[in-house]
Order: sequence, then structure tokens, then C-alpha cells
Amino acid sequence: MGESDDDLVARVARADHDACRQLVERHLRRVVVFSTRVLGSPHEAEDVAQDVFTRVWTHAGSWNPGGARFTTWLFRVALNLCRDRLGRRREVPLDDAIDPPDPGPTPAERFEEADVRRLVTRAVDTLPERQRTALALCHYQGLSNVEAAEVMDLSVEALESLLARARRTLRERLRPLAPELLTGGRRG
Amino acid sequence: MTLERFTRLLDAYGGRIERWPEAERLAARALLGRSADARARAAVAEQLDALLDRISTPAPSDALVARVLATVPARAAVRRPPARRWPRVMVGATGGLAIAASLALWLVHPSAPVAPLGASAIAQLGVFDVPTDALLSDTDLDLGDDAPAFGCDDPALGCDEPALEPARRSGRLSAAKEMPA
Repeated sequence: MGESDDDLVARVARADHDACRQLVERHLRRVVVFSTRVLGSPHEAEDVAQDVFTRVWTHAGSWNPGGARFTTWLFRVALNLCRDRLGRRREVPLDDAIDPPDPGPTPAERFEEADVRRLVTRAVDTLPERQRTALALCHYQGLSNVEAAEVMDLSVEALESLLARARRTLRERLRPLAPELLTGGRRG
Repeated sequence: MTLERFTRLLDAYGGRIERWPEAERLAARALLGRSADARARAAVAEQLDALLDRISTPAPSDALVARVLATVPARAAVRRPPARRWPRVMVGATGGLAIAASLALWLVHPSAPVAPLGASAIAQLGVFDVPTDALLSDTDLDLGDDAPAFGCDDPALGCDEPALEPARRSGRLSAAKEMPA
């Protein structure tokens, strides 16, 4: 087990470059993946990641180890920066953004791997922002429900509702890849 | 755990129980063990999980890592917590002790004997009306000067450019914790 995030941040506050490097190695990928899911743009996600770490360096001296978890703070900063960027964009209307579903179910095996990835990526990236953020935190980052709710400043119940709506929509959209998903979508 | 509760959690967290809230896992696994319906629903949810996992994001490039590390500021620019300030009462007590110690030293040590001035030295002293005249006469300081020797920082008056204060150079900011809204 390596040094804790709190200890590394304390060293960052003393301008310890080795600690800075360790934090980057530990968290940069997570921030990039998360921001890519929220923004739908790997290029912009890299810019966000850079801004996130600039804030880490700036605020390390005032970090309170007894407060929130470092990762919670990190994702929250990333989310705020992503939302700033999304606010400056003109949102593409959801219905125009995704291809209409295929007329009939087709087994996933008939799709090329690249097609599958493209369809899934598109299905996730065109979810409403709060739904894809919830999915990004819980499914892709593996955060606990409590931590994800804290990042999004929501109750756990509200987070679960967002996740359920996201999955319901995804089941519908990805039906061409896996017809059985519709069974799950129709129940209850 | 009821099937209804199980399904609600399945809808939110997917088919992998290890991703569920810890407090729910034991009851969920027990239900999976005894309910074919629960197992069937979990299998469908796992299919969606598997599709979601097909999205891949490449590892950050070396160029990005270098870009991020290039933003690490120099030592002086990292924000630091405020220096611990001594409580007022401590400052007062310490200052008082220092003054008392100086006074005691002055009283205990006899003053150095003053050598009597010779006649020529006395002649050079001249006549002074007030004590400060003596001080002024020994320096080149002219009270009429436009540019006083101390505290001048205006180049228009012929003074040197003021040096930046260290705190300002370092860019130190308030140490209040900022948690973006």
C-alpha cells in the first residue's frame, strides 16, 4: 500500500515534485476517463485534467485531511470544469444526436468491434448530463453511491434514480446489440 | 430482500453485486441463491454492464503527463497554510520580558568611562542651541531635500525602484480552503 492521498497532498503543499508526480500517476487517468464520459470529447477532457491538477497544486496548502476524501474533491473539481465547458456549448438535442434504432434486433456478433464501441459510446455520451455523470462515477469509476452522491451534491436516492433512468435509456438504445436487454427494459 | 427491492438496486447499480452498496450485498446474494427470477434479471443487467465495458479510453499520453507536470509551480508559488501566529498575550509577555531584561542589563553594567575631551576637540564642537543640532551637523542630511533618504520609493523623486516584497513575489494567496460549488 502506497502513501495515502492526504500524505501526498501534504507533500505537494511543500512543493515536493515527487509527490506531484505520484498524484498524477495515480489519478490522471481517472480524471481523463471521467471527463471524457461527461464531455464526450477526449481532447477537451485532457484540457480539463490539466486544469484539475493546476488546482491541486494551488490548493494543496489549504487541504484539510480530515474533511472530504481527496478523490471526491478531485472529481467534483473535474465535474465543475466539465460543466463550465458544457455550459459554453450548444447542447445537441438528444433525439438528433443518436441514430434511430435498427428496425429489427441483430445479434452483437454481427457487428464489428469498432461498431459496438461506437454505438455504446454514442449511447452513453448522449444521455442527459446528470445521468451520464452518475454513470461515469458509479460504473466507470467505481465510486460508492455515497461518494458519487457527494460529488454530484445529491442524495443517494436521487443518484439511484439518475442511474436507473440512464440504464433504462441505454437498454432501449442498445437493443440492436443485445435484444435480450429489451426484456429487462420491459419488466416492471 | 424482496424481489422488488432487488430489481430497484439492479436498475441502479447493474448486475454485479460487488458494485452494489456494501450493506445490500449479503441479502442480494442470498436472494440470488434462492430466486431464479432474481438470477434471470441479474443476467440481463450484466449484459448491459458488459456492453458498457466495451468503451475504452486510452491511457493518458506521455505528452499529457508532461503537460500536467509542467504546471507544477516553483516552491515559492505553492499556496501554504498561514504561518502560525503567536497569540497576542504571548507577544505581549515576550516583549515585556525583553524590555525588562534590557533595563536590568543597563542598570547592572556600569557605564563605560567617558574620556575627557581635549581642547581641540572641544573647539570643533561649536555651539548648539538644541541637542538635535549636533546630530544634524554630523550628517549631510538637509531638511530641505525633496528626496528623504528613507522610505522613498518614487522614481520620479530620484529614488530607486522599490524591491518587491517577498510575499508578493511568491504569489501567496489566502489559505482559505476552496471547495468549488
